[in-house]
Amino acid sequence: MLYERVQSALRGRVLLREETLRLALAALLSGGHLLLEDVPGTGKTTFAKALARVLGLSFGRIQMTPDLLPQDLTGVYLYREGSLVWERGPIFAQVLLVDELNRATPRTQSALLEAMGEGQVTLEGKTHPLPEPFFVLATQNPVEEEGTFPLPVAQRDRFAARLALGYPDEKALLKALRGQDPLEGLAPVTDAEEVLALRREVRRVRVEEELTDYLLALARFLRGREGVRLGPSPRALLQVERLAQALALLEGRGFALPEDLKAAFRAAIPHRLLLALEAELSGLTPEGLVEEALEAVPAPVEAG
Amino acid sequence: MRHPLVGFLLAWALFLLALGAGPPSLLGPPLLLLGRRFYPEGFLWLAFLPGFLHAPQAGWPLLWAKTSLALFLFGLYLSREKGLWAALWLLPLALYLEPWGLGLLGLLHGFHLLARVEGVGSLGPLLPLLLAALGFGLGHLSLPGLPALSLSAPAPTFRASPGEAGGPGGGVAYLPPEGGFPLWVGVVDRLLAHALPLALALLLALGLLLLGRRRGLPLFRGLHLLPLLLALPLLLGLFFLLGSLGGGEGAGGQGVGPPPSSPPSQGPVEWVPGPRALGEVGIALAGLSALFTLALLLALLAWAWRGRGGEGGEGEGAAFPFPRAFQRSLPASRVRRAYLKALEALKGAGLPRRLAEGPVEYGKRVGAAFPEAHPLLARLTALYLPVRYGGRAEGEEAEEAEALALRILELCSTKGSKAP
Repeated sequence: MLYERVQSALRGRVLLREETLRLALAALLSGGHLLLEDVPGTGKTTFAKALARVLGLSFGRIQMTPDLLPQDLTGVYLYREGSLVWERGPIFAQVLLVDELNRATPRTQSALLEAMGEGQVTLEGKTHPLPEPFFVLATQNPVEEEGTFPLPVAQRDRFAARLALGYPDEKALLKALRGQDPLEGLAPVTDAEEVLALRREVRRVRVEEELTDYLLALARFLRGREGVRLGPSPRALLQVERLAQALALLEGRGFALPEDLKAAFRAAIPHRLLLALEAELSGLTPEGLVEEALEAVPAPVEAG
Repeated sequence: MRHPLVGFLLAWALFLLALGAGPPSLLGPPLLLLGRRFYPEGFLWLAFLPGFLHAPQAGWPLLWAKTSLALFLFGLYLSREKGLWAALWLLPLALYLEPWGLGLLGLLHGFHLLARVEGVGSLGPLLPLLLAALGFGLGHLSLPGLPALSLSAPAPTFRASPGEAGGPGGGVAYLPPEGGFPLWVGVVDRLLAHALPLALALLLALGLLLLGRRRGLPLFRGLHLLPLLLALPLLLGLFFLLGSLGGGEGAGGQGVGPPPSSPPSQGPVEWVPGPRALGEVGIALAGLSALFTLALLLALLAWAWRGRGGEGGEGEGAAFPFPRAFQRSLPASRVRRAYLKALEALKGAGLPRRLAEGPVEYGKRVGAAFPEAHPLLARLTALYLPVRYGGRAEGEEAEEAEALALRILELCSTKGSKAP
């Protein structure tokens, strides 16, 4: 299975929790994109590079800065030898690491987010499809906010999941400190064809009607919860379902479980919630509210 | 005919033709349909309830029997795919015996349900048993002094015993005392006429609350069958009493009603004014008895209502009004029933599944707290998941699942007996 192969290849190289890797792969297979939010130095870039390499996909990296223009991402037409030649930007990669997304201006952010949504970029009236699979890993530093342009909720909604890599435990860290370059000798364990085939397979994973009801009940709970200004959007729920399907497929199952849905809900919903100011001041967090919903809404299991 | 609605409409039409429209006949079919939805393997007992709404009018046991029969047949039609026809072979005999036979049929059906659902681990059929026995008792027994309950003699007679006055074949009938009773006697008497229907309505509400509540039924755990059966005669007695009270036609009502226009046909009867004190005390006692019975039923209802929110062990989801139809329905699949049985056993052993917990999460928690049961539950969960969420039709694994559930049950019993 893909997950086991990837996990086996990355073991000892990337300091990553199993659950994070599983969710990252699920985001890829669900056709979504990933928002990595963590402090610097937790291995986000290494993880993105390693992931691209083991999946046999091309890799691109963009370091976002306030003076970055949309053309710096998508590419430009240059006048060369009497004609206009299109110079492709770094966005044309299968795995794209967008470092510190919130440092770019909203204009540049929008260009990227549009490419994420459409799977193509348009330059000078010409449409250029992005390579498939196209998977964006965008990072955000949650502690430094000066000089940044925080993503509005509507744009955060375009990311299937948000994950935090977190600090590795000391044992793993020690191993890393004594070890070699994590990317050295890392060989692909699959290719784009298999990834695309798995993406198609994800849609065939069965989601029982009661699980869909469960998902709707979770959303209803959050929308009705005091202190929540904006609850999960229909797109968010669709992505939760796709993520749950992808998680099931990664486990080799042809059907989703309540646990898949819960894991997907935890990953896909908090960054989409908008809280009222009073709620934030009273210490409520989106993550806390999601946990509250998951604790309050009964899962569709035999009632014993 | 395959669509349930067709059967429902046909049966209802036949039913209304046979009995004429009335509250019981209008209430019965929807009640049975509701029961089938929430409690597919044990809803037929509901057929014996609406007929009680005929009480306390004269000859109500016969009407009860007819209503119950019609509803029972309708219920059998509804349950034709659930294998609950076992009681049907007794129907000719029951029809021959009329009300008694139908009461007996209800009782046997209750036993049948008990035996059938015992494998599921649910004590739900105790309630049908209780109610079927109640129906049987009401139809079968007759007590001296409660002539309104006599099936063959719906017209009330109020004769004193032959030894006291009037000689053999004759008797003394009491009229209201001279000067009449105080106002409160009349009021209580009128209220008493509604005591039985009210009590039956409360009982029905109680039944509905407990209907299909497998999660709530563990509240009964530890409640032995014998005490219940011993309590049955008491409840029957109370209902008899309620059925005989008030309304100007029963024993209590005679004291305040006008004297009958014609004396009873059997033998010469002497009409004399009744003793005032005896009448007042009788009405007061009847009122207190009715009050006691209604209070008992109300308490049971309140208890069942309170228990409704505490399902699932922790009760943490009670505050959230999540639609629970899927949780209430008794699963038709054997693997799902086996899993449910294991859940109930583990709950009994102090490891209830939390409402929000998925099967895999629960399995992990049980594994940490009760390692002996872990491999069994893990295997059972592995069998359960594809059936529950994968839409897989169960095959041979059903037997394995049932065996696993049984072993978990044994383990939990051992754990329970070892616990201090």
